[in-house]
Amino acid sequence: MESRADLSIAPLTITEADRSRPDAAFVERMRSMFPVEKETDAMFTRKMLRRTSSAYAPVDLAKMSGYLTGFLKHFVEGPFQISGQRWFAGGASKIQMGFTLEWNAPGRGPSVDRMVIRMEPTESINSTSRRREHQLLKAFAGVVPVPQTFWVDADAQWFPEPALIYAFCDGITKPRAATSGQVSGIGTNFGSQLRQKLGAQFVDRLARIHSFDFSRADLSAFELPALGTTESASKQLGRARRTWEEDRIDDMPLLEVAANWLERNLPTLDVVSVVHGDYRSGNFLYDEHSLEFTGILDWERGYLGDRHRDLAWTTHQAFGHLDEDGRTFLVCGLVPIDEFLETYQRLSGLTVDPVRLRYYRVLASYQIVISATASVCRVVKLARSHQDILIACAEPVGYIAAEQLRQMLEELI
Amino acid sequence: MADTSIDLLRASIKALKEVVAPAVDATNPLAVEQLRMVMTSLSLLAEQLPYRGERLRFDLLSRIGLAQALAAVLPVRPGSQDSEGALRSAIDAAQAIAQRPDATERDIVDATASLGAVLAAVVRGAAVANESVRRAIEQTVLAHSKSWLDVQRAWFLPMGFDHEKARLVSMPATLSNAIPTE
Repeated sequence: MESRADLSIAPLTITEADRSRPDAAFVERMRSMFPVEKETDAMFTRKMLRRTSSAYAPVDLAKMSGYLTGFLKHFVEGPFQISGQRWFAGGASKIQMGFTLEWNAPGRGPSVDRMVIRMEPTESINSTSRRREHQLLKAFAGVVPVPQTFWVDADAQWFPEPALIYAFCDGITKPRAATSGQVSGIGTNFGSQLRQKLGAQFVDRLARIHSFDFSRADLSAFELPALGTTESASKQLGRARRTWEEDRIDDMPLLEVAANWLERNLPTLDVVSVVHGDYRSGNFLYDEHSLEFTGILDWERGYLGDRHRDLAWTTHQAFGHLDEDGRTFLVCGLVPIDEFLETYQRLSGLTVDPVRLRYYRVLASYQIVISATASVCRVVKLARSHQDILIACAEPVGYIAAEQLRQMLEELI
Repeated sequence: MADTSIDLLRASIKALKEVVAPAVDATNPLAVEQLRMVMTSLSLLAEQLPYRGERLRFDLLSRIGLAQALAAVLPVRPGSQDSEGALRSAIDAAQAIAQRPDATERDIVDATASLGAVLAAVVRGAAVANESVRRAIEQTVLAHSKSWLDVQRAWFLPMGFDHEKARLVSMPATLSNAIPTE
């Protein structure tokens, strides 16, 4: 016998106007419905409030140089000169300008450094924290290859949006002749010649990230989740669900099925690791001659939590492809998946739990679908980025991931 | 007069490729990248625009098919205002649009969105239903989502991302294989 509550229809009170021009009440509603980490909450809240209060404003190199000069006057002692300002392409979520700084560097004296400003657009497809990215880059200096980070304007006091300034990192994300991976390096085919050397480093660096002892690092912008509880998974799911509710332009019943399953199956946390959040091809640089990794980038989705989230994300079908034999799936186009997981366990000393991995595979697909079909479409619809056309081209990735999500759920429900 | 929209798109692509692209500053990677994406997007539209109307109608019929299938697995409670009642009303409204030969694109898009909101709410509500009802609802959504996803993926095939291009083939081929139940 059913109770009335069994079949009650969920409220249908979120409208397109709520999402495109949210008021404070709607923002508070989202905050209370989907608890997330404090810093994440601040970024999401900022995104929504600015949708109503702040118009899109394109920036050019002259304007960026002006903001940079003002910032450096405050933070650099003595005279300095900036030159060589230029845009960088390749990333889908942030504005990136390269420049050269001649300055009197603390501890080094007169120096010439190539640097990068990494700044939010008016609205990014990832509402993430520059403060957290800055802390992770500092924490991992000397642990894995990362660019040296210099300054962060986390609250947009000097730049129009939160910004990070770090060292330019030499290297390439994919072979120059590659025709794959045209949007943010997704699906890059490195070719059989490069796979072994790049693949070995790829697994090793992830193992180092997850086994890193972060107890003495300044990660004050992060929350430490409780072991043996579902807190970490719940907040990650909350983050994804909040993104879906705030950004989507249409409904997708499949995603509601996924959300139901993810809520029912929240895993407990066995070990707290630093999770990179977007560890894949396109987000590492290597020297094209030595093939040595020169930098691991885009830590913006990083958090303290379950390593299986990274493992599930990195091994996602959207980021890899089949070997020439047409049967072996290569993780990010680099390593056969069984070899990837086996080597990872040996190098990290951490186990791979198939149940947790399965959970995070569903969550990773859910997150990719949300990012590509909700956040991408929202930013493009509201025309709030400097590269709407590039972002728009990521939408089909969402439908491919949705089919993978559907197939996984068919096996689980 | 014959519609020349596709010719206009192809002319635009030709101009970008032959005249604009060679004049773009090769040292401005944002300009180079975005020009490539503009050409890719216009090419997609030139190829798929003839199927836009069929796609929109398919989306509506697909949701009606899913809604009818869900209505069949929800317990009936005559006169109630809960899921089953709301779903029945939404199906009736959507079918009225689907059957109207003079329905505009806007009518179809709005009807699809309205029904989608009710469907999503029914599935969210399933989270607190008993297990057999919940499973029936969720399995029905999963089964019906495949053809809908195939059509969305077929629309974007010209972008070159999809690893199942050989199966999906083309927009008209996928649409003809994905006939929703009305």
